[in-house]
Amino acid sequence: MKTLTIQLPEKLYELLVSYSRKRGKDVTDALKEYAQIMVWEEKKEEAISAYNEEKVTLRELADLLGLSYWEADELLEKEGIALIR
Amino acid sequence: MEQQEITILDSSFLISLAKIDALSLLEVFKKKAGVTLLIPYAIYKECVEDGIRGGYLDSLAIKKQIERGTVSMKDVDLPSELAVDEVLMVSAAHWGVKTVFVDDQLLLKKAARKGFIVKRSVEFLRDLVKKGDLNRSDYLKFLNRLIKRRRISEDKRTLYEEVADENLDYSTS
Repeated sequence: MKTLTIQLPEKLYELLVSYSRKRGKDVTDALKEYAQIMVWEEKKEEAISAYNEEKVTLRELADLLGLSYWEADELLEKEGIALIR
Repeated sequence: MEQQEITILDSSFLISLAKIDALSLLEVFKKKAGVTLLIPYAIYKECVEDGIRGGYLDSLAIKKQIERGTVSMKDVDLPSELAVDEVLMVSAAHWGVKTVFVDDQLLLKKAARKGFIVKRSVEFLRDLVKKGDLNRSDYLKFLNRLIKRRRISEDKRTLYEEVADENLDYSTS
């Protein structure tokens, strides 16, 4: 584990506290969860773009995201991405 | 005795047909066309074993087609580290396959560049209509489902509703 000390604007800190309360977590865990979501979303967008641009196959997209073939297939459907254009 | 023509199927194609409840049309196609429908074990593992493990009910419908013998599973001795995309291509070449059924945008182009005839699920359905094995009304029902399940894009609806016949060349696009 790495330790990171950050300074947040008051408003953002309040939002983070509110977010953590909603999830029944402390602020640190809520921040970790939020960071994981952001990283996942970024990876997902990159992988989907690569699929759309025909740089990767569905299997390669699954590998990029650590998903099974079915999960990757389901992800595209949920995201409204057509398998074939 | 003349050997039956072999068509190889990708998981993307099988899953498409499963999602629109059209897997039974494979049997119709197989009987009429007199072809052998084959999948390598890697494809079976992916769309049946992994699917069942992941709780995807459509994988059971695919399994049923294999148990009925409509689709046969065969293996080729290949290095285990080979990606499934490669297993599909190498198996196709090894078995002397003429046609690849695939619904993956990039993979179908790769297959076409290797000289295989490639067919997507929508073209498979259209071929059945042309041969009189599927009526137009059922074809349109399946087309709607393909679009709804995002197997093909909505903006191609008119094309597939109207175009009766054309051979698309993916190898140059």
